[in-house]
Formats: sequence, C-alpha cells, structure tokens
Amino acid sequence: MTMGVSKWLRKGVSGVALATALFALAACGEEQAASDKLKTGPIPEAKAELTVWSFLPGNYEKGVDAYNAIAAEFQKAHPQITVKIIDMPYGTYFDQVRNSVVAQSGPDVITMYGSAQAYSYKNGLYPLQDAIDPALRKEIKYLDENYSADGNLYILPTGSYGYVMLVNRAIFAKAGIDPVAGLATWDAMLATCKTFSEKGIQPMASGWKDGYLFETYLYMITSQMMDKPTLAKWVKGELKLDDKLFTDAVNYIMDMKTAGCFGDDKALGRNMFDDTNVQYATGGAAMLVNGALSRAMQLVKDQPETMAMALPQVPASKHKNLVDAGAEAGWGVTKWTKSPEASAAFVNFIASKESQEKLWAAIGVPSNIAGFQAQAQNDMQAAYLALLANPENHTGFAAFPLPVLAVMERNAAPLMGGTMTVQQFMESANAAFAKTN
Amino acid sequence: MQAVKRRGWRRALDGGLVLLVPAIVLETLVLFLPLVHVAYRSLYDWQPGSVSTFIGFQNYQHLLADPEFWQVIGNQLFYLLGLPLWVIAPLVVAFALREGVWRPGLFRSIYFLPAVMSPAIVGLVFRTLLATDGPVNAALETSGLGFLAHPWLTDVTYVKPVVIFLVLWASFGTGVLIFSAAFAAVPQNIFEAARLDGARFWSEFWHIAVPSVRGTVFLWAMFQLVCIFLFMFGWIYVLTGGGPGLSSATMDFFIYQQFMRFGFYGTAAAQSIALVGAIVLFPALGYGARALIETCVKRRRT
Repeated sequence: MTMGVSKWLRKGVSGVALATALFALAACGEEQAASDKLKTGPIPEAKAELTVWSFLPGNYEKGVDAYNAIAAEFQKAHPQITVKIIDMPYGTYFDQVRNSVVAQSGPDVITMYGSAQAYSYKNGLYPLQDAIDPALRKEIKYLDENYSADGNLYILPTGSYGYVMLVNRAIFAKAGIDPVAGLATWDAMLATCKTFSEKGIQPMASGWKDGYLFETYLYMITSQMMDKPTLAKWVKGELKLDDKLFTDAVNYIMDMKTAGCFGDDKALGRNMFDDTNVQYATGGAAMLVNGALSRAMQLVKDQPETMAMALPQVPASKHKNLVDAGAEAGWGVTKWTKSPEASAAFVNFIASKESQEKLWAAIGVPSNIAGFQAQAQNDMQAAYLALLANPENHTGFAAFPLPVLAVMERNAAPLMGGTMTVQQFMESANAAFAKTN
Repeated sequence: MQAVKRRGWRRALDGGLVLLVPAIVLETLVLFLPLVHVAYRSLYDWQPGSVSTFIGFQNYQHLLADPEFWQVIGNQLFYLLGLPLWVIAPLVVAFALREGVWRPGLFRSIYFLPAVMSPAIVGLVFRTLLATDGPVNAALETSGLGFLAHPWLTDVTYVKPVVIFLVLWASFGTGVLIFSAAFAAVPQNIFEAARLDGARFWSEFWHIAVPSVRGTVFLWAMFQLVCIFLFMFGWIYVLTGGGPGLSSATMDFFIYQQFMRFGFYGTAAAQSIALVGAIVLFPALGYGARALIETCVKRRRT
C-alpha cells in the first residue's frame, strides 16, 4: 500500500473517530422539555397537513369512511388544512405511539385513553384543559375521570362504551331461568351460575389467558364500589391500590368463579378477545361481557335472542344500577405538532356534538354529549342506549396505571387457575402500583 | 519507544486492519454508540422529550431489588438447560445423515425449513396447536391418550419446557446444516479405519466425530447461548406473552414491556445493560470452561 493511501486512511479513521465522538456527545446531550402550553386561537392561513393516528376507524365496518367524512368537514371549514387520518391496527398502536414519543416526531393528533394511560405518554402530549371550547366543555361527559393524576387533561374524550352483560334468552329458556329474575341481584346471579353449571351449560363466556376479561370485571365491580368522591380520589391518585376496595372487588370475581360462572379450566387457555366472542356467538355460553355497542350488534346476528342487561350490583355497591361506562377513547395533540392551532381545533371539532351525531348516524358510535338524543334503529341499540343514559354511570378504568394492568393481565390466569392466591395477586399488583408513584 | 509504537500502528493500518475499518466503523455507529448512549441513560430518570434527572445507580438498585427481575433471570437460566439438547440433537442427526441414508440432502432441506419461517408466524401456529382446547390436546383425547393432554402454554410447569422444544424445532435444521458441513471436512478414512477396528455408531460418534468437529460444536453452542438471550423475543411475544404470570418471560421481553408498554425508560436502559452483561458473561464462562477442559485433556495425555 502506498504512503498516500495510508495517509488518506489515517485521516479517514481520525475523521470517523471524531464524527462518532461528536455523535455520542450529541446523543448524550440533555433533552429539552417541550412547552406545556398548547397554542390555540385562529388557525394560520398557511397551508398545512395534519396527520392523525387512530385505531377507532378499524373498530367499525365503515369506520374509515365515517372518520374521513369528519376530516372532510373540518377541511371544508378550514381549507388551508389537509387532514390525513391513518387507521392503525390496535395490536401495535401503542408501540407506535411510544416510538413517536421517544423520537418526538410523528402524528399531530392521536387517539388515546385518558387518565393514567395518557399520563404514561405525557412527554408527547399537550395538556388540553385550557384548549377545550367552553361550550363543548359544558356538554361533554366523562371529562373529570379522564384527568391524569398531575391535574392535566391529555385527551379530549369522545364516544361512549358500557360494559354490559349480553344474555342469550334462548339458553336461559332452555335452562328454565328467567334472565331478569336471574340477574336481578348479585346473589341471584351466583345462583343462576350454579343452576347453569349443574345443567352442564357454560354460564359466562370466559377466557383468562390475555387477562383482559379479569380487568373488565374489575373495572365493572370497582366502578360500582366507588361513589363520585371515591372515584375522584382514585383519578387523582389519592386512593391507593392497597385500599380494601380493590381486594374486595377481586374477591367478588373469585365468588363468581366459585359459583361456576366461568366454567371449567379450559377458560385458562382462552383469550377474552376473539375467543369469548366466538364462544358466545356459537352458543357455547349463556352470557358475555361486552363493551362496544358495535360488537353487540354483530353478536345479535349470530345469536338473535341476545339482549343487553347490567351486571347486578355487588353487595358493596354504592349505586342502584350503575353500568361501568365511559368515553370510547379520546384525542390528544402531540407536542411536536407544527400546527398546534389546527390540531387543537381538530380535536374540538371531532368531539363536537355535530361530529358525534354524524358518527352515530354513520357507524353507530354512541356519543358522550350530555342530553344526546339518539334514534335507536333496533332493540339492541335501544337497550344499550338506555343503559348508557343512566346518570349514575362512570368508570375508574383509565385511572389504573399501565404497569398495574400488565401485572393483573399476566397474573389473571394463575389466579383463576388456583396457582396464585388473592393475597399474592394483590401484592404483585401493589408492587407495580408503587413503581408508578 | 513512541516511534516504534507509531510504526506498529501504521503497519497494522496498512495491513489487515484496513479491511476491518468499514466493519468497525459500522459496528461503532449502529451498535457501540447506541450502547454507550443506553448505558449513559441508565443513570438517569430518562424522560425522552422532557427533562431527565441524573440519579446515579438508582435504576440498577431498583432492578436488583425487584423480584420480577430475578424471576426473569431464573427463566433465562432455565432456558439454558435446553442448550445440551439444542447442540446434541442436530449433531447426532447430522452425523447419522453423513452416509448410508437415502437422499440426505432432502432430509437436511426438510429439517432446515423451520429456520426460514418467521418466528411470529410459527409462534401463532403453535399457539393455536397447543391451546388448551387446541388440536394437539383434542388429538390426544380422541386417541385415548387424554392423560397426556395438558394446558401446554398456560401452566407454569409446562410452558418453559415447551418453549425449549419449540426453539429446538426452529433451530434444529440450521444446526444439522452447520454440523453436516463440518463433518464433510473430516477425512472419511478415519471412520473407515475405526470401523475396521470394530467401532460402532456411538463409538464413532463420541470418539471420532465429536472430537473432529469440536470447534464447530463450541461455535454452535456459543451461538445458541447468545440466541437464548437475544432472539427469544419473537417466540415469547407471540406464543406466551411472557405468561402465565412471568413464568416464560425473557430479559428482552421484560425490557420491551418496561420501555414500550410502561414508559419506564431508565429502568429499561438499566435492564438492557444487564442483558449485555449477561451476553458477555455467559459466553465468557463458556470460553473459560472450554480452555479448562482442553488444559485438563492435554495434561492427561502428557
């Protein structure tokens, strides 16, 4: 090798070494905190594009068209803005958002759950409490329970869900049980489960592998056991998971298990999503816990004798007939958006009464606007809307920190399978809760 | 002295090092610098997009005090028990395919097939097959072997052994291929001479074949060792989700959960450094054990 090449190489190596050192220094430099104040006000005249990530359109057969129609309405009002809604698959959605938060780049607006769940992504989301249209603030439901423990509201909630029991009247009739009487009280429900079990009928479609069903029952029961002040404390992080309320709620679920509500140990190997729906849709169970009206509508096609009822109140319930219900999800503005005013306007627009009316008409998303008068097209919609209209309804779902949910999800099968005690289960969940404070 | 050192450095640069420079630069950029960055971040309450506070070794202290971390380490050590199986099984089959087998290439191709399949897809297939009310248990029950039906993926007792067998299934073909190549380089006359002396299959295997390819065996064992720490994520994520409880979770899956799901960035960074430590430590122990064994063997011979 000639001296010339050698010299060039040495210079090259030195250059690369210098560049890598600079890269390392740059990478290790302190990250700057973005401003916490979202700019609102008139949208600038310059052309801009808003990218919106959401998993909601995919939840509905014609969801993409419906949400694109909302975007088109917004564009009509603000011609300088182009809104691009990207329908994201739910399974990987939160990973994509996490990557965006770490990279501090990505969409301008995202769909997100509120309270503790949004708090986990707080480095990427603007607080919205000062960006809500005052007129909208007055009529929107489930706002308070979507605040995070730091006192910020990171999402503007839209839509409604309610966890109800779908009941197959045909199977109840076969077992000689009147569903209304059989689910009138907690004890009546446990007795109903026993009767079904004795007759060899699976009472409730069950699957514990992914842990979501356990969480769902926990939301339903803890919401019953919380009055409004207790829920407020839970949302603010003042009520801790070691409170007796949560252990009692787990024990109520175990009472359901003892009564045979969940069938045999095969449920340990099934997931909630898909598996329990299939179990109910194929007539393999008399009841199914369900949150979304859209899914209930699909299940009616398979089991036409399906009706919707509230889960009976547990003995320690603070309510008469509460259904665990809340916003379907919410919309947040990211801290890296180049169009803060347009993003703020868009989340207000999609949460508005007009947009939610259009979504109800197009794809049947129940609104979270107080006093919303929806025209039911069938019995299932009518029953669901009646249950959702109950002013007692609320949920503490979003205030469960993500690490706690993860621990509960993974420990659900061992708990239900009998290889973990309630005490061990709660200790594990409390350890996860402690990490979040 | 300085001049001699400089000349040595120049000589190295003009020689083989030149060829290594692109790889070194690339490795530095995509591997070592991010690693340094993660190590640096592990000393912070890392908050991407916000102010990160320096907290020294607190992330490591929390990690070491976390029983879940030790449970995951325990799982990882349990998976190490699969190592002899992952090495010996393909070694024996590669040896058996060496001669006297009809179309050995066909068998090698069949064995190799799982290696070209995505772990995510294979994981989904096995998740369905091994479900409590899945086809495997159904087949066992209908064929009168119901006592063998188990909740393979949801029982703490079975889940880790099942993962070990699935990893064997997936990596088996690659092992067979690598060992077949190694056996092809061993002179045939050694085996023929042994056979003339009355050696049988297992004698040939233990006393001739294994010593002849011991370098390859060691290489494959080290490769599998690193795989246990680095390449299990796809399987665990799809097949078991780390469950039941945390009983099948691996370190990489645990890091993923801490970072992606919970946003505990600093803790995840500390766990990543612990994982790198394990990846360095275990192969180093392997190299140490190999050196010790070879020294002992040499002493016995002399």
